[in-house]
Amino acid sequence: MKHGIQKIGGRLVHFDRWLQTRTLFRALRAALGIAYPIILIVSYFDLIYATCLTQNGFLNQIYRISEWLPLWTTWQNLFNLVQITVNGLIAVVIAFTTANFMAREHRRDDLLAGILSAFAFLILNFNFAGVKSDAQGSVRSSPVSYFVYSNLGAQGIFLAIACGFTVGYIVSRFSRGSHTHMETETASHLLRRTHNIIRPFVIVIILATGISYGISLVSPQGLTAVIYNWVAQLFSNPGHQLLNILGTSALNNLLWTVGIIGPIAISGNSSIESIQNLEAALRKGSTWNLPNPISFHTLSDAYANFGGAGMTLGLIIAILLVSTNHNFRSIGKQSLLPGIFNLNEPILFGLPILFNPILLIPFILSPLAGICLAWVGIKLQLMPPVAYPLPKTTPGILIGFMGTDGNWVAFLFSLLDLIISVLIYIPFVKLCNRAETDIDIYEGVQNMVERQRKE
Amino acid sequence: MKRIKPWLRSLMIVIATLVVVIPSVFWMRSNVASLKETHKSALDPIIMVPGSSASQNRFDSLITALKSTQRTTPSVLKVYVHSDGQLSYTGSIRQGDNHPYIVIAFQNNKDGYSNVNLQAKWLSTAFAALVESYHFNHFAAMGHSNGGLIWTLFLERYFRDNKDVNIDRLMTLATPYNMESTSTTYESPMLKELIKYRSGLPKSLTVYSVAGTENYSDDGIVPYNSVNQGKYIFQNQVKHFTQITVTGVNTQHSDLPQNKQIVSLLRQYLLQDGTKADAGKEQSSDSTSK
Repeated sequence: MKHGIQKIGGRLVHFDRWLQTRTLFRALRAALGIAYPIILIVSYFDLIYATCLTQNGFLNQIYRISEWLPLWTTWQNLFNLVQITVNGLIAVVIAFTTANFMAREHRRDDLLAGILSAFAFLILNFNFAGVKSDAQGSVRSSPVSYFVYSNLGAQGIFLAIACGFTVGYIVSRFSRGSHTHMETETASHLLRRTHNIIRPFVIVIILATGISYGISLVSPQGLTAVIYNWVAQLFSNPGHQLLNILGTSALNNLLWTVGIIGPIAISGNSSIESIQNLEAALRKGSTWNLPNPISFHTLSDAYANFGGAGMTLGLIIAILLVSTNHNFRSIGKQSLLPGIFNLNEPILFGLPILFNPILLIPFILSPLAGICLAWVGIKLQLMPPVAYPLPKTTPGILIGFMGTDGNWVAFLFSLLDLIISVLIYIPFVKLCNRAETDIDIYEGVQNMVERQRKE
Repeated sequence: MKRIKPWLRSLMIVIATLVVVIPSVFWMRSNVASLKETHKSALDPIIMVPGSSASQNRFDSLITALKSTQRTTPSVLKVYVHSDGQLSYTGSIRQGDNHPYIVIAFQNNKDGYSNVNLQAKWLSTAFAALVESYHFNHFAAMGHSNGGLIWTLFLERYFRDNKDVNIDRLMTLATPYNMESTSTTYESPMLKELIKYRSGLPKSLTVYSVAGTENYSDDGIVPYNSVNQGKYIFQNQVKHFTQITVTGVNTQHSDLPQNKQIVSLLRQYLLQDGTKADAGKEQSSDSTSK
């Protein structure tokens, strides 16, 4: 048995290593890596904004910050500004970096490829509906954006990666010549770059415009909305069945790992089941014997979302406990504080978890374990389900306790849940130790070979 | 960077945990308590006051007209205020109906400065009784003709006694803020009083003043200029003040509450039909998982 598991682990490491030799994958990892500092810094802004400066932020609620902090609304606006500009446009950056590294892998003009990809991504998210109403001169109460703003943030990352790959490929395939990086640019070199990029540029612009227009005939909200609506429709209400809830959770987390962030808008606190539960709890004065003890909210939101989707708080703790990889450890430390308040962007993009065949498995498994554990606890009447609405940034470990108005068994279940998720993540983090060091060696060797060839 | 000693680090972690957990527990208790409060007051009634010489049945046809487009039939409660301040009720608020209609009428429903002032006082009596029995914390108001004056007087002088209650919207139909005067410069005692105490009006209030005109000057009874003087009371005092003029058939003063145009105005502005569902949608999308 143990041997078998080791064999599977070995295969996984092997697969990961093989992926690392693929141009596409290297470009993708590098693209996410280069966006990491931006995501990390902004996630700390997000942390302050989401916990302290929104009315429903956890720290704002418990410390009543809005009541004593001078100029609270001004602070709110300033932090929100960073949110809207940097976080809200992160997919444009990813589109840029992906194409940039793709072109670099093929020794093509990486800077222009990135710029081109960013433009293509914006074209794909053009807001035709807004322009139409503008041209007709209809009266509008608020200015219509020329772009579908919601698709330019984390929601659009999947499309951004696809766009970056495509543009990177087109640039590599259709550029007239290869590109050499020059420390000091000369006029003639710049002119050659222009010459090289013209063909891919025209192709990309025409292609992107065509696709964008085609999509607008089907969905006025752009390509991303097509994907999101489709997924959301499939899983609009997971109901009370454990299997449905498990399936929804697994699919949701699987989609996260490929960059489709949170497509299933399960309206947690505001779903009809939760409202019925809340009504009953308030009437009875306790959260025992609610009409809907088993729902996606009472299981997944409360016991499978510590540190954000995928129980990433468990991953962070596992890394701090067993990882020998220096990069992993520093990313783990940087992600801990946002992770406590359920913001997992740093760890998602830093390690990265996105498109990571090894971490994908516990990312799906540990929420499932949490859901099962909570299901058992509720079904056996060991603990009541959560019913009182809590801020989204409530630390995961406290949700069970606070959502039941102070049930200690619920708290113990949360604790157990966290320990289980750490235990699930540990073997995979260990596998990553092997995988990452192996790759470092592999790349070192490759670089050496290359240097020898040049000499 | 110097390494922090392990015992110091553990101590810091323990302190940080306590600093978060202890207020969380306090917050949890108060959160549940406040949820219990707001839970009771999902009730958001529309309270109507008829004009002079009108009974508590004045708005029956209006409510029927409003009802016909709503999926659930709202319940209607009628409050009759006797001159000695005694209240008698007809109708009821159905359990689970969050937007019932409440009509408040007065035994002494005569016109005139002193009578209207008395009626405002009686309105405050009835209002306090309603808040006590139904625990609502916000509502919308509508007044026809002098009913609008009664509402305005009440809001200026008595409303602040009800600490936890908010008025969201007030719609007045053909309310003669300057009594029967057609002048744009003369201020009747009523208007003088209303302007004098205007600072008592809730700052968050949204006011719609609807005027009907049969010809270019009045609706047959109330002069347009008198309705128009309302701006000196509300403008720059409440959050929003909107004046609307309705013309065409059925714009005679007493016909106004049944006027189709006005029924749709009421639906749009006072009941805010349709817009509420949208607001709910926005909220739920805000709480999606991230």
